[in-house]
Amino acid sequence: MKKILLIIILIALSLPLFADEHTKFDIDAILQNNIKYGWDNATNWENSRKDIQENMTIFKQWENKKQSHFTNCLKSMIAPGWGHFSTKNYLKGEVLLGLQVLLAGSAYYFYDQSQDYYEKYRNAHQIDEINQYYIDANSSYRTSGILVGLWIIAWGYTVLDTIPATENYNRDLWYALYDEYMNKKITVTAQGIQIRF
Amino acid sequence: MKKHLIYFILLFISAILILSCSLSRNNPLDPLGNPDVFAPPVVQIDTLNTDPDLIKWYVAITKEDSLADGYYIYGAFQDNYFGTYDRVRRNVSAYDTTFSKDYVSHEYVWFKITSYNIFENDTLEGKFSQITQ
Repeated sequence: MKKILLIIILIALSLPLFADEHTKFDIDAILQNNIKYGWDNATNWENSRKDIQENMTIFKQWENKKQSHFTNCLKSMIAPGWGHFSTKNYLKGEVLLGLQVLLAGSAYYFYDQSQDYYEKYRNAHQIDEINQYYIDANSSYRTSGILVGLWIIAWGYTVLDTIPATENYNRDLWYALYDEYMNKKITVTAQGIQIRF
Repeated sequence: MKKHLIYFILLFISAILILSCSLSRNNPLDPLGNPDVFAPPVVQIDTLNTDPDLIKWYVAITKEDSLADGYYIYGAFQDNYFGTYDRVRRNVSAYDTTFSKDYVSHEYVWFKITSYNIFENDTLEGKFSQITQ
């Protein structure tokens, strides 16, 4: 009886030895779930994780340096081309600024001229002068109106164009930060120092 | 994209609205802006006149209230046919339709005449007649 008890105790004590076989890390079983992500082997999986970590590091930098559409649109509303200058789109900013200055300046010139003629019209006492000054004043006024209309359209275009300009800037910023990060030989992170060969 | 299109259309409409504006005719002597005012009658030079010292004219009256309140005589020197004309005689009576050149300097060679009407103490001058010698 004692012998039987002793054998049972020995078997019970040796059970964990068998259990170890069942808890062994089965990489294939886990990979099955991740094939859909293209991680068909452990190296790919590890590389992907590394990529995500790197991307997250770049993403944090990008988040700090990226520009807001709203701010740039506001800048373009206040001063034409300012939004484009902020996104380093200098040529377009200069062209749009120049165009708007030209349109607004010409509009003001013709408006001023129309007011000049209008003043003469109001003070005229001769029927031909009354008619002629009114025609001249109205003609300049309409020209000024056309230029103001064009200026409004140019202004609207500038504000709207700031959105794709900002998007392009943010996209280029991402690539620049990515290249900068990838070209760095030594990277110091919270996890430690990484050396790239 | 749709938002941008709506925004752009709104801008375009506001541009069109600005374009449709024009100045008001607020000169109190402008017959097109003030219905109480009418254009003074047009002066016609009497081409049948044979007296070289006199200028004769008449007005084409189309309605009773288009009678002139008076006439102005303008004169210019020999070389100034297309240039500036001086007002050489003012307030010629409404019933007087002749003007003697002896009243003014003989340097004045070219003449033209306008009629005028008075509206609330303000004088509105009509169209110039053709130029005469």
